[in-house]
Amino acid sequence: MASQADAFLIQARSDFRVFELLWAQDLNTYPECHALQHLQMATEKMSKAMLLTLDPERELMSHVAFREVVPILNRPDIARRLGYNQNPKAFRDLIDRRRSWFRSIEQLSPSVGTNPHGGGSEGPNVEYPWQARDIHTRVIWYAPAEYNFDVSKDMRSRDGQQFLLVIRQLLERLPEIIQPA
Amino acid sequence: MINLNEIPRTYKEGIDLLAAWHGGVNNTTSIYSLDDNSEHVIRFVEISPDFSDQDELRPLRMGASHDFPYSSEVLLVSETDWQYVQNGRKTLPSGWDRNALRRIWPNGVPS
Repeated sequence: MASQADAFLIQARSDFRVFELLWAQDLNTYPECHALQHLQMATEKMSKAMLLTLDPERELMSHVAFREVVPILNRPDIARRLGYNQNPKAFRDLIDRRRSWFRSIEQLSPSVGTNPHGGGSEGPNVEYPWQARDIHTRVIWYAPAEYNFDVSKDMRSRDGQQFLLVIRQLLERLPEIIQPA
Repeated sequence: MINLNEIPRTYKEGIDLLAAWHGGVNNTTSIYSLDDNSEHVIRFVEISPDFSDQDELRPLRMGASHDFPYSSEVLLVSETDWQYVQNGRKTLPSGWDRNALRRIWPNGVPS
């Protein structure tokens, strides 16, 4: 029987497969918000699987989880288990350079806003329309399907490709990479 | 000189731009292009000591978008794995011909 951590990992893997499927499509036809929604869901559930592996009693109430795995990942033994055998420092440098991406990906969810005290998003998110001012200061509605997310451009960069590969590796080999104390 | 903010208008411009995006940040990356005769997909093999070793080499795929009108398939390969590819202990993904790879970074693309 699967544990709660196992179940989160199974669902995260499935979310990520859908992300990769959508991400490989023509993004003009299938807007990037749909792929990014699955990336956000996959990373949230993967992170919860990781946190539950380390503490099965942990309560997971919100969509905030991806940012919490940074200190777990940022270790030389994890770097080596992820395949950075010759140069674990390269992994540390990647995490250091791109620490903000953990938060940016979380904030794609409409339930995770940019307010440090919590609350949902009233700005760009991958699911629901939002109101904002255009360049002429008029208040207009934006639809996620017509919005260009910074995360999308980030993920096409060299670091973005590495970041996605780390997520893929974590999902495929989480039980051997993250071991309970 | 490549303008990294421009939207590429041709397949070659797309290759040059993506190579500059991926190779320009440091001098440890070598990039090879596996050209697509139909000019729809930009395929790169990128080799760097910064990349992780992998059990199986599989590309990261991304579709065309409004500001990059080509699909891309990028294979990140550590130097160790690249040696394995060269001596036959590891293989490139199915359909990727090692003999057809064309080195484009750091040589061949204006920075």
